[in-house]
Amino acid sequence: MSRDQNPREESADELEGRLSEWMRAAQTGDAIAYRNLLETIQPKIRAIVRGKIREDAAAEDVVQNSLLSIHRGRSTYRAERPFGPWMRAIVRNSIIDHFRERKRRGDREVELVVEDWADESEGNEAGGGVLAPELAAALAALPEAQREAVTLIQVKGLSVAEAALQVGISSGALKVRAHRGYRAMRLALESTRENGEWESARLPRSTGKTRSRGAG
Amino acid sequence: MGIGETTALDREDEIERCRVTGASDRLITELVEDLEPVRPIPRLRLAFAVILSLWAVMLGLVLWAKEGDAGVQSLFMDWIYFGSFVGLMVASFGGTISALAAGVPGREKVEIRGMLLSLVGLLAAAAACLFGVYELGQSAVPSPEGIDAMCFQEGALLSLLPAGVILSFLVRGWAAHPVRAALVALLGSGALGAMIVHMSCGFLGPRHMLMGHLSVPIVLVLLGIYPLAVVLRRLRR
Repeated sequence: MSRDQNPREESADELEGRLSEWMRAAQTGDAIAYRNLLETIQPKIRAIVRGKIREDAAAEDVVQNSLLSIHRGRSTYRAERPFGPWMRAIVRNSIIDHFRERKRRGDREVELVVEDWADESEGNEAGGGVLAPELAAALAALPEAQREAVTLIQVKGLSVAEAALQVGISSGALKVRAHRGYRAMRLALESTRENGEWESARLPRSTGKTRSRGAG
Repeated sequence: MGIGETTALDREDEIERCRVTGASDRLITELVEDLEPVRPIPRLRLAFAVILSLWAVMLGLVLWAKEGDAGVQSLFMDWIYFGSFVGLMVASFGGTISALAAGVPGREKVEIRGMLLSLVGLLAAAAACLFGVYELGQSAVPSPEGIDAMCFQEGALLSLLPAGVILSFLVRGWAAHPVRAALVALLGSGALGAMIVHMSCGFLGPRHMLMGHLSVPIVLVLLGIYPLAVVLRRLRR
């Protein structure tokens, strides 16, 4: 079919080409192209998700999880293949994950009372004497937002959804903060070890409460 | 419900929508800040070619070490051997393709077809051996003691290298279904290891082929599927 005969298809092809180009640029670290890509696909992802999930908050959570999955799995995109099917496969899997998770959790979050667990593990806070000194120092050195995310998930043992609820941000945003925190802590601990200052650092799970609920 | 109330509810909905959309916009900003260059995953064909080449080298080395005492010489003389050989070949091809596809979003069709092919191949190979055991009955030559375990160990060891390549691909990829990915990765690599043993083993009793050769992918799947799925699931988070 010629381009003149079907302008709608032509525009879809153009968009596909642009998305693919942005993704390729993002794989090389081009932040502007990446922002363009994410901002362009966000409404498309939302439209797909809203077709399956009606509740606003749940749908938005899946949109954010999809964006996060696209971010983490961006190395699996290959330029010679179309971008759309790749993106839709990730979104589809996020939707399936959402329904699986909801079935597993049985909407437990609805009954969750934040105040009940807000102060339940005060003693496990960074520097509270329970964490190994190196670990506590690495945790304390994190920016406030990352420290809060890591503490809630790894020290207090909350699920991502619960921690996000407590902080008042989306699960996706909390996961990103925690992910950055883990990376910064790993680097700090590695540097401590290389400098011969390593004494008793252990993984957070071995010192604090273990995570008792699945990640949201 | 009055008109004023409806408007108020609509406004609340709108505020909620803005709140959640705002969270997504913030997430985009954070993801952009988190961006680092990544190397695209290799093409499936290339990864498959690498595995196949490694497998061929391993086969060559094993055949060379055994100096011609190989079962593959009787490929067209023994239908039980031939049936199990073809079944294993199909199982290893399907399992490997499926495992590689499992690491790439959007390749689910290849993944499912490969998995089915692999399972059918393994069942066909097992059926050929079981039929051979049934048909030969008492007249079957008993396996020398310890040969089943020896072939199993050899097959398991030989499947380590293909398993390593498949897993490195999966680790770099994005396995949407960790259990399925673990199943096909173990099935494919186990079948590849079993193929080498099958082609290099000099003992061709159907019971031995079942217990010493075909058992490799089956046992690997039974033992490894859960831990591997857990690892793949954790890597995805």
